[in-house]
Amino acid sequence: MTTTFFFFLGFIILLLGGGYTVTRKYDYTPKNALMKKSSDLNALTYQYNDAIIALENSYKMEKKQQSFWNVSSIRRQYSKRYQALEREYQGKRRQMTRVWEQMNPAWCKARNIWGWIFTIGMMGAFSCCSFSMPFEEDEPAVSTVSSSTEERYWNAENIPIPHLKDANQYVSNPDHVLAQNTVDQMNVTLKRLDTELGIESVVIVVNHIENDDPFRFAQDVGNKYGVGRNDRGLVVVVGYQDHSINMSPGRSLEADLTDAECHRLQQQYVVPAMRAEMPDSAMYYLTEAIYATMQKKELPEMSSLTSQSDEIDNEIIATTGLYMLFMIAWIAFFMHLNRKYQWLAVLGVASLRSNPFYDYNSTGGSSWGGSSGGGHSSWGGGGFSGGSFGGGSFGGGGATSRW
Amino acid sequence: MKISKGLIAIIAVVVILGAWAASAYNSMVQVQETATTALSNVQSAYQRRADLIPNLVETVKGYAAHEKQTLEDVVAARSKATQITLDPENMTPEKMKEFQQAQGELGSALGRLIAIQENYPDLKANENFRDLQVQLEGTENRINEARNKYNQAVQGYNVEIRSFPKNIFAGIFGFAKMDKFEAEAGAEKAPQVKF
Repeated sequence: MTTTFFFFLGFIILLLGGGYTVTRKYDYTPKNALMKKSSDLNALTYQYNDAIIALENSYKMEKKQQSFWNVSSIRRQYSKRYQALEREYQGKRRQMTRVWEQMNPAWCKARNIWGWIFTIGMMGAFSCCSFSMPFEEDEPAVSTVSSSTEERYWNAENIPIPHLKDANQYVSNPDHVLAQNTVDQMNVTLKRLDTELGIESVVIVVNHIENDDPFRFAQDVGNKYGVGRNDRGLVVVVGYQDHSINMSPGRSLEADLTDAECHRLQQQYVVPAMRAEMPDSAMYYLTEAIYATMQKKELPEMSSLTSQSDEIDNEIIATTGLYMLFMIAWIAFFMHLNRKYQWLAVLGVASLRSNPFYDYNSTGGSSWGGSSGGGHSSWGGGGFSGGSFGGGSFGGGGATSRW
Repeated sequence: MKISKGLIAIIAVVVILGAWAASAYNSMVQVQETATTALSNVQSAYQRRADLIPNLVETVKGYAAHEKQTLEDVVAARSKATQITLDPENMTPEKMKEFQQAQGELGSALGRLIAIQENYPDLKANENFRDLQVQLEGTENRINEARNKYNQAVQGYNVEIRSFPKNIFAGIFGFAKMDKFEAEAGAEKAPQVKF
Protein backbone atom coordinates (compact mmCIF):
# COMPACT_ATOMS: atom_id res chain seq x y z
CA MET A 1 0.00 0.00 0.00
CA THR A 2 2.71 2.47 1.07
CA THR A 3 4.81 1.45 -1.94
CA THR A 4 1.94 2.43 -4.24
CA PHE A 5 1.54 5.73 -2.44
CA PHE A 6 5.22 6.58 -2.76
CA PHE A 7 5.12 5.67 -6.43
CA PHE A 8 2.13 7.94 -6.73
CA LEU A 9 3.93 10.77 -4.91
CA GLY A 10 6.88 10.36 -7.27
CA PHE A 11 4.48 10.59 -10.20
CA ILE A 12 2.90 13.75 -8.79
CA ILE A 13 6.30 15.37 -8.20
CA LEU A 14 7.26 14.58 -11.80
CA LEU A 15 3.93 15.99 -12.95
CA LEU A 16 4.37 19.20 -10.99
CA GLY A 17 7.98 19.55 -12.07
CA GLY A 18 6.98 19.03 -15.69
CA GLY A 19 4.09 21.48 -15.36
CA TYR A 20 6.29 24.11 -13.77
CA THR A 21 9.01 23.74 -16.41
CA VAL A 22 6.56 23.87 -19.33
CA THR A 23 4.49 26.79 -18.03
CA ARG A 24 7.39 28.89 -16.77
CA LYS A 25 7.85 30.50 -20.18
CA TYR A 26 4.14 31.25 -20.49
CA ASP A 27 3.47 32.10 -16.95
CA TYR A 28 4.47 35.74 -16.87
CA THR A 29 1.32 37.79 -16.69
CA PRO A 30 1.45 41.36 -15.32
CA LYS A 31 -0.51 41.64 -12.13
CA ASN A 32 -2.13 44.88 -13.26
CA ALA A 33 -3.47 43.09 -16.38
CA LEU A 34 -5.38 40.70 -14.15
CA MET A 35 -6.56 43.61 -11.99
CA LYS A 36 -7.74 45.50 -15.05
CA LYS A 37 -9.72 42.50 -16.18
CA SER A 38 -11.41 42.32 -12.78
CA SER A 39 -12.23 46.05 -12.70
CA ASP A 40 -13.64 45.95 -16.26
CA LEU A 41 -15.86 43.02 -15.35
CA ASN A 42 -16.89 44.76 -12.14
CA ALA A 43 -17.88 47.90 -14.03
CA LEU A 44 -19.97 45.84 -16.45
CA THR A 45 -21.67 43.98 -13.61
CA TYR A 46 -22.44 47.16 -11.66
CA GLN A 47 -23.94 48.67 -14.79
CA TYR A 48 -26.30 45.75 -15.27
CA ASN A 49 -27.08 45.48 -11.55
CA ASP A 50 -28.22 49.15 -11.71
CA ALA A 51 -30.41 48.27 -14.68
CA ILE A 52 -31.93 45.38 -12.71
CA ILE A 53 -32.64 47.63 -9.72
CA ALA A 54 -34.33 50.14 -12.02
CA LEU A 55 -36.40 47.33 -13.48
CA GLU A 56 -37.38 46.20 -10.00
CA ASN A 57 -38.50 49.73 -9.01
CA SER A 58 -40.51 50.03 -12.17
CA TYR A 59 -42.19 46.68 -11.40
CA LYS A 60 -43.11 47.84 -7.89
CA MET A 61 -44.66 51.02 -9.25
CA GLU A 62 -46.66 49.17 -11.87
CA LYS A 63 -47.78 46.53 -9.40
CA LYS A 64 -49.40 49.20 -7.22
CA GLN A 65 -51.44 50.53 -10.14
CA GLN A 66 -52.72 47.13 -11.35
CA SER A 67 -55.32 44.84 -9.87
CA PHE A 68 -54.36 41.69 -7.98
CA TRP A 69 -55.27 39.43 -10.93
CA ASN A 70 -52.82 41.13 -13.29
CA VAL A 71 -49.82 40.93 -10.96
CA SER A 72 -48.64 37.51 -12.09
CA SER A 73 -48.83 38.51 -15.74
CA ILE A 74 -46.73 41.63 -15.00
CA ARG A 75 -44.26 39.56 -13.04
CA ARG A 76 -43.79 37.24 -16.04
CA GLN A 77 -43.23 40.21 -18.34
CA TYR A 78 -40.57 41.64 -16.01
CA SER A 79 -38.97 38.27 -15.61
CA LYS A 80 -38.58 38.06 -19.39
CA ARG A 81 -37.03 41.51 -19.43
CA TYR A 82 -34.61 40.41 -16.70
CA GLN A 83 -33.67 37.33 -18.75
CA ALA A 84 -33.00 39.52 -21.78
CA LEU A 85 -30.76 41.73 -19.64
CA GLU A 86 -28.95 38.73 -18.25
CA ARG A 87 -28.30 37.30 -21.73
CA GLU A 88 -26.95 40.63 -22.84
CA TYR A 89 -24.72 40.82 -19.76
CA GLN A 90 -23.36 37.29 -20.27
CA GLY A 91 -22.66 38.01 -23.93
CA LYS A 92 -20.76 41.18 -23.13
CA ARG A 93 -18.86 39.47 -20.35
CA ARG A 94 -17.83 36.59 -22.62
CA GLN A 95 -16.72 39.03 -25.25
CA MET A 96 -14.63 40.99 -22.73
CA THR A 97 -13.03 37.81 -21.47
CA ARG A 98 -12.28 36.65 -25.01
CA VAL A 99 -10.66 39.94 -25.87
CA TRP A 100 -8.63 39.85 -22.69
CA GLU A 101 -7.47 36.29 -23.39
CA GLN A 102 -6.45 37.22 -26.91
CA MET A 103 -4.32 39.92 -25.40
CA ASN A 104 -2.73 37.43 -22.96
CA PRO A 105 -2.22 34.11 -24.85
CA ALA A 106 0.57 32.92 -22.52
CA TRP A 107 -1.78 33.10 -19.56
CA CYS A 108 -4.36 30.96 -21.42
CA LYS A 109 -1.79 28.31 -22.31
CA ALA A 110 -0.50 28.08 -18.74
CA ARG A 111 -4.08 27.92 -17.47
CA ASN A 112 -4.83 24.95 -19.75
CA ILE A 113 -1.66 23.09 -18.79
CA TRP A 114 -2.24 23.53 -15.05
CA GLY A 115 -5.87 22.51 -15.49
CA TRP A 116 -4.80 19.24 -17.10
CA ILE A 117 -2.16 18.63 -14.42
CA PHE A 118 -4.74 19.08 -11.71
CA THR A 119 -7.19 16.69 -13.41
CA ILE A 120 -4.53 14.02 -14.01
CA GLY A 121 -3.38 14.34 -10.39
CA MET A 122 -6.91 13.82 -9.06
CA MET A 123 -7.60 10.88 -11.34
CA GLY A 124 -4.23 9.34 -10.43
CA ALA A 125 -5.02 9.72 -6.73
CA PHE A 126 -8.38 7.97 -7.12
CA SER A 127 -6.90 5.16 -9.21
CA CYS A 128 -3.92 4.56 -6.91
CA CYS A 129 -6.17 4.70 -3.85
CA SER A 130 -8.47 1.99 -5.16
CA PHE A 131 -5.52 -0.06 -6.47
CA SER A 132 -3.68 -0.03 -3.14
CA MET A 133 -6.75 -1.03 -1.10
CA PRO A 134 -6.50 -4.59 0.25
CA PHE A 135 -8.24 -6.86 -2.23
CA GLU A 136 -11.82 -7.73 -1.43
CA GLU A 137 -13.71 -10.34 -3.35
CA ASP A 138 -16.22 -8.82 -5.72
CA GLU A 139 -18.95 -11.05 -4.44
CA PRO A 140 -18.71 -11.97 -0.77
CA ALA A 141 -19.11 -15.62 0.08
CA VAL A 142 -22.43 -15.34 1.81
CA SER A 143 -24.05 -13.27 -0.88
CA THR A 144 -22.77 -15.64 -3.56
CA VAL A 145 -24.22 -18.53 -1.68
CA SER A 146 -27.60 -16.94 -1.22
CA SER A 147 -27.78 -15.56 -4.74
CA SER A 148 -27.02 -18.80 -6.48
CA THR A 149 -30.19 -20.09 -8.00
CA GLU A 150 -28.94 -23.52 -8.87
CA GLU A 151 -27.14 -25.42 -6.15
CA ARG A 152 -24.63 -27.87 -7.43
CA TYR A 153 -23.68 -31.06 -5.65
CA TRP A 154 -20.05 -31.85 -6.24
CA ASN A 155 -18.30 -35.20 -6.50
CA ALA A 156 -14.95 -36.49 -7.70
CA GLU A 157 -16.20 -36.62 -11.27
CA ASN A 158 -17.39 -33.04 -11.68
CA ILE A 159 -15.10 -31.09 -9.36
CA PRO A 160 -12.53 -28.93 -11.18
CA ILE A 161 -8.93 -29.51 -10.10
CA PRO A 162 -6.96 -26.30 -10.79
CA HIS A 163 -3.63 -28.01 -10.06
CA LEU A 164 -3.90 -29.91 -13.34
CA LYS A 165 -3.87 -26.61 -15.24
CA ASP A 166 -1.52 -24.63 -13.04
CA ALA A 167 1.01 -26.37 -10.82
CA ASN A 168 0.82 -23.55 -8.26
CA GLN A 169 -2.90 -23.94 -7.64
CA TYR A 170 -3.98 -26.36 -4.94
CA VAL A 171 -7.36 -24.95 -3.95
CA SER A 172 -10.58 -25.74 -5.78
CA ASN A 173 -13.17 -23.10 -4.95
CA PRO A 174 -15.82 -23.43 -7.67
CA ASP A 175 -18.68 -21.99 -5.58
CA HIS A 176 -16.56 -18.97 -4.54
CA VAL A 177 -17.05 -19.73 -0.88
CA LEU A 178 -13.59 -18.30 -0.24
CA ALA A 179 -12.29 -14.89 -1.26
CA GLN A 180 -9.65 -14.95 -3.98
CA ASN A 181 -7.19 -13.37 -1.56
CA THR A 182 -7.61 -16.29 0.83
CA VAL A 183 -7.21 -18.79 -1.99
CA ASP A 184 -3.98 -17.07 -3.04
CA GLN A 185 -2.60 -17.14 0.49
CA MET A 186 -3.53 -20.80 0.89
CA ASN A 187 -1.89 -21.65 -2.42
CA VAL A 188 1.36 -20.11 -1.21
CA THR A 189 1.33 -22.22 1.98
CA LEU A 190 0.30 -25.39 0.14
CA LYS A 191 3.07 -24.82 -2.39
CA ARG A 192 5.55 -24.71 0.50
CA LEU A 193 4.00 -27.88 1.90
CA ASP A 194 4.60 -29.51 -1.48
CA THR A 195 8.11 -28.28 -2.21
CA GLU A 196 9.57 -28.25 1.30
CA LEU A 197 7.86 -31.28 2.81
CA GLY A 198 6.86 -33.32 -0.24
CA ILE A 199 3.18 -33.31 0.68
CA GLU A 200 1.02 -32.82 -2.36
CA SER A 201 -2.42 -31.59 -1.49
CA VAL A 202 -5.83 -30.69 -2.84
CA VAL A 203 -8.18 -28.46 -0.87
CA ILE A 204 -11.76 -28.40 -2.08
CA VAL A 205 -14.24 -25.88 -0.69
CA VAL A 206 -17.78 -26.12 -2.03
CA ASN A 207 -21.28 -25.46 -0.77
CA HIS A 208 -22.71 -28.94 -1.20
CA ILE A 209 -21.20 -32.39 -1.48
CA GLU A 210 -22.95 -35.27 -3.18
CA ASN A 211 -24.73 -37.46 -0.63
CA ASP A 212 -23.37 -35.17 2.10
CA ASP A 213 -20.38 -37.53 2.31
CA PRO A 214 -17.12 -35.57 2.48
CA PHE A 215 -15.18 -38.74 3.33
CA ARG A 216 -16.24 -40.49 0.11
CA PHE A 217 -15.57 -37.32 -1.89
CA ALA A 218 -12.04 -36.93 -0.46
CA GLN A 219 -11.17 -40.60 -0.96
CA ASP A 220 -12.45 -40.60 -4.53
CA VAL A 221 -10.58 -37.42 -5.44
CA GLY A 222 -7.38 -38.75 -3.82
CA ASN A 223 -7.56 -42.10 -5.59
CA LYS A 224 -8.84 -40.83 -8.92
CA TYR A 225 -6.16 -38.20 -9.40
CA GLY A 226 -3.45 -39.99 -7.42
CA VAL A 227 -2.81 -37.09 -5.10
CA GLY A 228 0.62 -37.32 -3.45
CA ARG A 229 4.03 -38.63 -4.34
CA ASN A 230 4.94 -41.84 -2.49
CA ASP A 231 1.44 -41.89 -1.02
CA ARG A 232 2.13 -38.65 0.87
CA GLY A 233 -0.90 -36.77 -0.36
CA LEU A 234 -3.54 -34.82 1.50
CA VAL A 235 -7.10 -34.08 0.44
CA VAL A 236 -9.25 -31.63 2.39
CA VAL A 237 -12.91 -31.34 1.49
CA VAL A 238 -15.29 -28.77 2.94
CA GLY A 239 -19.05 -28.62 2.39
CA TYR A 240 -19.73 -25.08 3.61
CA GLN A 241 -23.52 -25.25 3.55
CA ASP A 242 -23.50 -28.94 4.49
CA HIS A 243 -21.44 -27.93 7.57
CA SER A 244 -18.90 -30.68 7.09
CA ILE A 245 -15.16 -31.13 6.63
CA ASN A 246 -13.01 -34.13 5.95
CA MET A 247 -9.23 -34.37 5.94
CA SER A 248 -7.86 -37.48 4.28
CA PRO A 249 -4.12 -38.08 4.36
CA GLY A 250 -2.55 -40.55 1.91
CA ARG A 251 -1.48 -43.97 3.14
CA SER A 252 2.10 -43.00 4.02
CA LEU A 253 1.09 -39.66 5.48
CA GLU A 254 -1.28 -41.28 7.99
CA ALA A 255 1.61 -41.90 10.39
CA ASP A 256 2.60 -38.20 10.40
CA LEU A 257 -0.88 -36.75 10.28
CA THR A 258 -2.94 -39.06 12.42
CA ASP A 259 -6.71 -39.18 12.59
CA ALA A 260 -6.60 -37.57 16.04
CA GLU A 261 -4.42 -34.72 14.75
CA CYS A 262 -6.73 -34.16 11.79
CA HIS A 263 -9.69 -34.04 14.15
CA ARG A 264 -7.91 -31.68 16.55
CA LEU A 265 -7.01 -29.27 13.76
CA GLN A 266 -10.60 -29.28 12.56
CA GLN A 267 -11.97 -28.67 16.02
CA GLN A 268 -9.42 -25.99 16.84
CA TYR A 269 -9.48 -23.96 13.62
CA VAL A 270 -12.32 -24.90 11.34
CA VAL A 271 -15.35 -25.56 13.54
CA PRO A 272 -15.23 -22.31 15.61
CA ALA A 273 -14.57 -20.11 12.58
CA MET A 274 -17.21 -21.86 10.48
CA ARG A 275 -19.76 -21.46 13.25
CA ALA A 276 -18.94 -17.75 13.15
CA GLU A 277 -19.47 -17.88 9.36
CA MET A 278 -15.85 -17.03 8.65
CA PRO A 279 -14.88 -19.61 6.02
CA ASP A 280 -11.86 -17.58 4.91
CA SER A 281 -10.36 -17.53 8.37
CA ALA A 282 -11.20 -21.18 8.91
CA MET A 283 -9.44 -22.37 5.79
CA TYR A 284 -6.53 -19.95 5.98
CA TYR A 285 -5.68 -20.99 9.53
CA LEU A 286 -6.29 -24.67 8.86
CA THR A 287 -3.76 -24.54 6.03
CA GLU A 288 -1.24 -22.72 8.20
CA ALA A 289 -1.84 -25.21 11.00
CA ILE A 290 -1.32 -28.21 8.70
CA TYR A 291 1.96 -26.72 7.54
CA ALA A 292 3.03 -25.99 11.12
CA THR A 293 2.06 -29.51 12.25
CA MET A 294 4.07 -31.09 9.46
CA GLN A 295 7.00 -28.79 10.17
CA LYS A 296 6.71 -29.70 13.87
CA LYS A 297 6.39 -26.00 14.55
CA GLU A 298 4.16 -24.15 16.94
CA LEU A 299 0.57 -23.98 15.77
CA PRO A 300 -0.88 -20.57 14.89
CA GLU A 301 -3.15 -19.05 17.50
CA MET A 302 -6.72 -18.22 16.66
CA SER A 303 -6.31 -14.84 18.39
CA SER A 304 -4.11 -13.85 15.50
CA LEU A 305 -7.18 -14.49 13.37
CA THR A 306 -8.73 -11.28 14.59
CA SER A 307 -5.45 -9.45 14.48
CA GLN A 308 -5.17 -10.31 10.80
CA SER A 309 -8.56 -8.82 10.04
CA ASP A 310 -7.59 -5.81 12.15
CA GLU A 311 -4.47 -5.46 10.04
CA ILE A 312 -6.62 -5.33 6.91
CA ASP A 313 -8.89 -2.71 8.53
CA ASN A 314 -5.87 -0.65 9.59
CA GLU A 315 -4.48 -0.87 6.10
CA ILE A 316 -7.73 0.43 4.64
CA ILE A 317 -7.77 3.33 7.13
CA ALA A 318 -4.12 4.17 6.46
CA THR A 319 -4.61 4.03 2.69
CA THR A 320 -7.70 6.17 2.76
CA GLY A 321 -6.08 8.63 5.19
CA LEU A 322 -2.96 9.06 3.08
CA TYR A 323 -4.92 9.71 -0.08
CA MET A 324 -7.36 12.03 1.69
CA LEU A 325 -4.41 14.08 2.95
CA PHE A 326 -3.03 14.21 -0.54
CA MET A 327 -6.35 15.31 -2.00
CA ILE A 328 -6.72 18.10 0.59
CA ALA A 329 -3.21 19.32 -0.27
CA TRP A 330 -4.00 19.03 -3.98
CA ILE A 331 -7.24 21.01 -3.62
CA ALA A 332 -5.38 23.70 -1.60
CA PHE A 333 -2.83 23.87 -4.40
CA PHE A 334 -5.65 24.15 -6.92
CA MET A 335 -7.32 26.97 -4.97
CA HIS A 336 -3.99 28.77 -4.88
CA LEU A 337 -3.64 28.45 -8.65
CA ASN A 338 -7.29 29.40 -9.10
CA ARG A 339 -6.48 32.90 -7.87
CA LYS A 340 -4.36 33.32 -10.94
CA TYR A 341 -6.06 31.15 -13.55
CA GLN A 342 -9.67 31.58 -12.49
CA TRP A 343 -11.11 28.15 -13.36
CA LEU A 344 -13.96 28.32 -10.90
CA ALA A 345 -14.67 32.04 -10.49
CA VAL A 346 -13.11 35.40 -11.21
CA LEU A 347 -12.03 36.57 -7.83
CA GLY A 348 -12.77 40.13 -6.84
CA VAL A 349 -15.55 40.47 -9.40
CA ALA A 350 -19.07 41.25 -8.34
CA SER A 351 -21.87 38.96 -9.43
CA LEU A 352 -25.05 39.85 -11.23
CA ARG A 353 -28.16 40.22 -9.11
CA SER A 354 -30.50 37.27 -9.16
CA ASN A 355 -33.89 37.45 -10.89
CA PRO A 356 -36.26 39.31 -8.50
CA PHE A 357 -39.28 38.40 -10.65
CA TYR A 358 -38.75 34.69 -10.54
CA ASP A 359 -41.93 32.85 -9.58
CA TYR A 360 -40.93 29.75 -7.63
CA ASN A 361 -44.48 28.40 -7.50
CA SER A 362 -44.97 28.27 -11.22
CA THR A 363 -41.94 26.16 -12.06
CA GLY A 364 -42.16 22.42 -12.24
CA GLY A 365 -39.90 20.14 -10.28
CA SER A 366 -36.78 18.94 -11.87
CA SER A 367 -35.86 15.36 -12.06
CA TRP A 368 -32.62 13.58 -12.30
CA GLY A 369 -32.40 10.75 -14.67
CA GLY A 370 -29.64 8.65 -15.87
CA SER A 371 -28.56 5.23 -16.68
CA SER A 372 -25.31 3.46 -16.54
CA GLY A 373 -24.32 0.77 -18.89
CA GLY A 374 -22.46 -2.11 -17.44
CA GLY A 375 -19.65 -3.67 -19.26
CA HIS A 376 -17.47 -6.62 -18.71
CA SER A 377 -13.90 -7.20 -19.38
CA SER A 378 -12.08 -10.41 -19.91
CA TRP A 379 -8.55 -11.32 -19.01
CA GLY A 380 -6.38 -13.15 -21.40
CA GLY A 381 -5.09 -16.48 -20.21
CA GLY A 382 -1.69 -16.48 -18.64
CA GLY A 383 1.08 -18.83 -19.47
CA PHE A 384 0.70 -21.26 -16.57
CA SER A 385 2.11 -24.70 -16.76
CA GLY A 386 -0.22 -27.49 -15.80
CA GLY A 387 0.63 -29.72 -12.87
CA SER A 388 0.15 -33.40 -12.23
CA PHE A 389 -0.19 -35.58 -9.20
CA GLY A 390 2.25 -38.14 -7.97
CA GLY A 391 -0.02 -41.21 -8.09
CA GLY A 392 -0.75 -41.49 -4.37
CA SER A 393 -3.39 -43.72 -2.86
CA PHE A 394 -5.76 -43.28 0.05
CA GLY A 395 -6.76 -45.97 2.48
CA GLY A 396 -9.56 -44.31 4.43
CA GLY A 397 -7.54 -42.48 7.11
CA GLY A 398 -8.32 -39.01 8.37
CA ALA A 399 -11.19 -37.44 10.20
CA THR A 400 -14.52 -35.81 9.54
CA SER A 401 -16.10 -33.04 11.60
CA ARG A 402 -19.40 -31.25 11.45
CA TRP A 403 -20.51 -27.95 12.85
CA MET B 1 18.01 -81.68 -43.42
CA LYS B 2 14.64 -81.04 -44.87
CA ILE B 3 11.87 -80.03 -42.48
CA SER B 4 8.32 -80.49 -43.61
CA LYS B 5 5.99 -77.51 -43.69
CA GLY B 6 3.53 -79.35 -41.45
CA LEU B 7 6.17 -79.71 -38.72
CA ILE B 8 7.02 -76.02 -38.94
CA ALA B 9 3.34 -75.16 -38.60
CA ILE B 10 2.99 -77.41 -35.55
CA ILE B 11 6.07 -75.88 -33.91
CA ALA B 12 4.75 -72.38 -34.62
CA VAL B 13 1.38 -73.18 -33.14
CA VAL B 14 3.00 -74.73 -30.05
CA VAL B 15 5.26 -71.70 -29.60
CA ILE B 16 2.33 -69.30 -29.96
CA LEU B 17 0.22 -71.32 -27.57
CA GLY B 18 3.11 -71.55 -25.11
CA ALA B 19 3.64 -67.77 -25.25
CA TRP B 20 -0.04 -67.13 -24.79
CA ALA B 21 -0.22 -69.63 -21.88
CA ALA B 22 2.72 -67.94 -20.18
CA SER B 23 1.13 -64.56 -20.64
CA ALA B 24 -2.23 -65.82 -19.33
CA TYR B 25 -0.55 -67.46 -16.34
CA ASN B 26 1.36 -64.28 -15.51
CA SER B 27 -1.74 -62.13 -15.74
CA MET B 28 -3.63 -64.53 -13.44
CA VAL B 29 -0.76 -64.41 -10.96
CA GLN B 30 -0.83 -60.64 -11.11
CA VAL B 31 -4.54 -60.32 -10.38
CA GLN B 32 -4.29 -62.96 -7.67
CA GLU B 33 -1.47 -61.01 -6.00
CA THR B 34 -3.55 -57.86 -6.17
CA ALA B 35 -6.41 -59.66 -4.45
CA THR B 36 -4.21 -61.23 -1.73
CA THR B 37 -2.56 -57.85 -1.07
CA ALA B 38 -6.01 -56.33 -0.74
CA LEU B 39 -6.90 -59.09 1.72
CA SER B 40 -3.77 -58.33 3.75
CA ASN B 41 -4.86 -54.69 3.86
CA VAL B 42 -8.25 -55.73 5.16
CA GLN B 43 -6.68 -57.82 7.89
CA SER B 44 -4.27 -55.08 8.90
CA ALA B 45 -7.19 -52.64 9.14
CA TYR B 46 -9.01 -55.09 11.40
CA GLN B 47 -5.82 -55.59 13.38
CA ARG B 48 -5.53 -51.84 13.79
CA ARG B 49 -9.00 -51.80 15.30
CA ALA B 50 -8.11 -54.66 17.61
CA ASP B 51 -4.99 -52.78 18.74
CA LEU B 52 -7.05 -49.77 19.74
CA ILE B 53 -9.31 -51.80 22.03
CA PRO B 54 -7.03 -52.29 25.07
CA ASN B 55 -6.49 -48.53 25.34
CA LEU B 56 -10.17 -47.85 24.84
CA VAL B 57 -11.19 -50.39 27.47
CA GLU B 58 -8.68 -48.99 29.97
CA THR B 59 -9.91 -45.44 29.40
CA VAL B 60 -13.56 -46.42 29.79
CA LYS B 61 -12.76 -48.50 32.87
CA GLY B 62 -11.39 -45.39 34.55
CA TYR B 63 -14.79 -43.66 34.31
CA ALA B 64 -17.31 -46.48 34.07
CA ALA B 65 -15.86 -49.45 35.96
CA HIS B 66 -19.26 -50.90 36.72
CA GLU B 67 -20.08 -51.35 33.03
CA LYS B 68 -18.36 -54.66 33.57
CA GLN B 69 -20.47 -56.72 31.19
CA THR B 70 -19.95 -54.36 28.26
CA LEU B 71 -16.21 -54.23 28.86
CA GLU B 72 -15.97 -58.01 29.14
CA ASP B 73 -17.98 -58.46 25.96
CA VAL B 74 -15.55 -56.26 24.07
CA VAL B 75 -12.52 -58.05 25.43
CA ALA B 76 -14.02 -61.44 24.63
CA ALA B 77 -15.07 -60.39 21.14
CA ARG B 78 -11.62 -59.03 20.48
CA SER B 79 -10.00 -62.22 21.67
CA LYS B 80 -12.22 -64.30 19.42
CA ALA B 81 -11.74 -62.03 16.40
CA THR B 82 -7.95 -61.96 16.64
CA GLN B 83 -7.81 -65.74 16.73
CA ILE B 84 -9.29 -66.04 13.28
CA THR B 85 -7.11 -64.97 10.41
CA LEU B 86 -7.60 -65.46 6.72
CA ASP B 87 -4.93 -67.30 4.80
CA PRO B 88 -5.30 -66.71 1.05
CA GLU B 89 -3.81 -70.15 0.38
CA ASN B 90 -6.42 -72.01 2.40
CA MET B 91 -9.38 -69.72 2.32
CA THR B 92 -12.75 -71.38 2.34
CA PRO B 93 -16.21 -69.82 2.33
CA GLU B 94 -16.78 -71.19 5.85
CA LYS B 95 -13.57 -69.62 7.12
CA MET B 96 -14.51 -66.35 5.50
CA LYS B 97 -17.94 -66.45 7.11
CA GLU B 98 -16.44 -67.25 10.48
CA PHE B 99 -14.01 -64.35 10.16
CA GLN B 100 -16.77 -61.92 9.22
CA GLN B 101 -18.97 -63.12 12.04
CA ALA B 102 -16.23 -62.66 14.62
CA GLN B 103 -15.38 -59.19 13.34
CA GLY B 104 -19.08 -58.33 13.22
CA GLU B 105 -19.50 -59.32 16.86
CA LEU B 106 -16.50 -57.20 17.81
CA GLY B 107 -17.96 -54.26 15.91
CA SER B 108 -21.27 -54.60 17.73
CA ALA B 109 -19.55 -54.87 21.13
CA LEU B 110 -17.53 -51.75 20.33
CA GLY B 111 -20.69 -49.93 19.33
CA ARG B 112 -22.20 -50.70 22.74
CA LEU B 113 -19.00 -49.60 24.47
CA ILE B 114 -18.97 -46.28 22.65
CA ALA B 115 -22.65 -45.76 23.39
CA ILE B 116 -22.14 -45.79 27.16
CA GLN B 117 -20.39 -42.42 26.97
CA GLU B 118 -23.81 -40.78 26.95
CA ASN B 119 -24.23 -41.84 30.59
CA TYR B 120 -20.80 -40.59 31.65
CA PRO B 121 -20.19 -36.91 30.82
CA ASP B 122 -16.67 -37.03 32.29
CA LEU B 123 -15.80 -39.90 29.99
CA LYS B 124 -17.29 -38.05 27.03
CA ALA B 125 -15.19 -35.00 27.84
CA ASN B 126 -11.98 -36.96 28.29
CA GLU B 127 -9.48 -35.98 25.64
CA ASN B 128 -7.90 -39.41 25.44
CA PHE B 129 -11.30 -41.01 24.94
CA ARG B 130 -12.11 -38.53 22.20
CA ASP B 131 -8.84 -39.29 20.42
CA LEU B 132 -9.55 -43.00 20.65
CA GLN B 133 -13.04 -42.46 19.27
CA VAL B 134 -11.66 -40.50 16.34
CA GLN B 135 -9.08 -43.20 15.68
CA LEU B 136 -11.79 -45.84 15.92
CA GLU B 137 -13.92 -43.99 13.42
CA GLY B 138 -10.92 -43.63 11.10
CA THR B 139 -10.20 -47.34 11.49
CA GLU B 140 -13.77 -48.29 10.63
CA ASN B 141 -13.42 -46.13 7.52
CA ARG B 142 -10.17 -47.89 6.66
CA ILE B 143 -11.85 -51.27 7.10
CA ASN B 144 -14.65 -50.30 4.77
CA GLU B 145 -12.25 -48.95 2.19
CA ALA B 146 -10.04 -52.02 2.41
CA ARG B 147 -13.04 -54.37 2.10
CA ASN B 148 -14.31 -52.48 -0.94
CA LYS B 149 -10.91 -52.60 -2.59
CA TYR B 150 -10.60 -56.29 -1.78
CA ASN B 151 -13.98 -56.99 -3.31
CA GLN B 152 -13.01 -55.08 -6.46
CA ALA B 153 -9.71 -56.98 -6.68
CA VAL B 154 -11.48 -60.31 -6.15
CA GLN B 155 -13.99 -59.44 -8.83
CA GLY B 156 -11.17 -58.76 -11.28
CA TYR B 157 -9.45 -61.99 -10.32
CA ASN B 158 -12.61 -64.12 -10.59
CA VAL B 159 -13.44 -62.65 -13.99
CA GLU B 160 -9.90 -63.40 -15.14
CA ILE B 161 -9.85 -67.05 -14.05
CA ARG B 162 -13.40 -67.87 -15.09
CA SER B 163 -13.26 -66.42 -18.60
CA PHE B 164 -12.74 -68.81 -21.48
CA PRO B 165 -10.12 -70.01 -22.40
CA LYS B 166 -8.16 -68.89 -19.32
CA ASN B 167 -10.44 -71.01 -17.15
CA ILE B 168 -8.72 -74.11 -18.65
CA PHE B 169 -5.32 -72.95 -17.47
CA ALA B 170 -6.76 -71.73 -14.19
CA GLY B 171 -8.04 -75.26 -13.54
CA ILE B 172 -4.68 -76.80 -14.52
CA PHE B 173 -2.60 -74.41 -12.38
CA GLY B 174 -4.95 -74.41 -9.40
CA PHE B 175 -6.30 -70.82 -9.47
CA ALA B 176 -9.44 -71.18 -7.36
CA LYS B 177 -12.34 -68.76 -7.14
CA MET B 178 -12.06 -66.32 -4.21
CA ASP B 179 -14.92 -65.13 -2.02
CA LYS B 180 -15.91 -61.54 -1.47
CA PHE B 181 -16.81 -59.90 1.77
CA GLU B 182 -20.51 -59.64 2.18
CA ALA B 183 -22.34 -57.02 4.14
CA GLU B 184 -23.36 -58.44 7.45
CA ALA B 185 -25.53 -56.96 10.11
CA GLY B 186 -23.33 -54.98 12.42
CA ALA B 187 -20.12 -55.94 10.69
CA GLU B 188 -19.59 -52.68 8.83
CA LYS B 189 -21.49 -50.29 11.01
CA ALA B 190 -19.04 -47.68 12.17
CA PRO B 191 -19.76 -46.57 15.73
CA GLN B 192 -21.60 -43.26 15.69
CA VAL B 193 -19.21 -40.70 17.07
CA LYS B 194 -20.92 -37.68 18.54
CA PHE B 195 -19.27 -34.74 20.25
